Amino acid sequence: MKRHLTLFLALASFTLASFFVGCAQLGAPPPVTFIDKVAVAQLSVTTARKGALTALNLGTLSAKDARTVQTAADNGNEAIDVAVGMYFAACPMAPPAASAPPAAPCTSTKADAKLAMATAILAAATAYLDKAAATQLQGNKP
Amino acid sequence: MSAVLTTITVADTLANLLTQALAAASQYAALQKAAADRGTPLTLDDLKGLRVADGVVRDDLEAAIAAHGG
Repeated sequence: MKRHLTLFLALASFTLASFFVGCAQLGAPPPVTFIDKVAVAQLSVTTARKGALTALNLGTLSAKDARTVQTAADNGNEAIDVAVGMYFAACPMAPPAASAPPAAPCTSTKADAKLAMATAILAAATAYLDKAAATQLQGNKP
Repeated sequence: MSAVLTTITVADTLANLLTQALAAASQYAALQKAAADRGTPLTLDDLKGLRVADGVVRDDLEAAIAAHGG
């Protein structure tokens, strides 16, 4: 069990590290604002679904495993919505007065934590997807 | 033999993870570039657009799961 958890965390870390390396290679700034981080989480949701769809159509993922990824992605979206709600409860958007000095960006530790949880759910779904596909592939080998 | 299969499986898994992470990074880069072109940071409207796109993929996956007997 501990070994599986370690492997899972390693795969999730690898995915996130690859994302940031990809951003750097493509010249995209790393996510800084809360909205940036939400965008990354949302893209992770869609990426997990796309991966499941591709693997399912290729026959390298079972319908049951695809359902697991779909459910995890739905949970990820729910966590994102909760995080966004928490953020805007703590940081209501008010148009700054033209003469006001630039304000420091608002932060919400609770919203950040919830969003980190959403991202972890999606990293888990992605890792599950690849583990399930790899298992299925190995099972199909003669 | 088992060790070779395990190595191939791990390599497959890492390659798939890498591909998916890079695809997400590419989409994120495109989003940031569009925001930079219009001179604003990412907005709630950008997030809404991402959610709509996710809904389309969700429906496709749901249909594929049903087609595969899930």
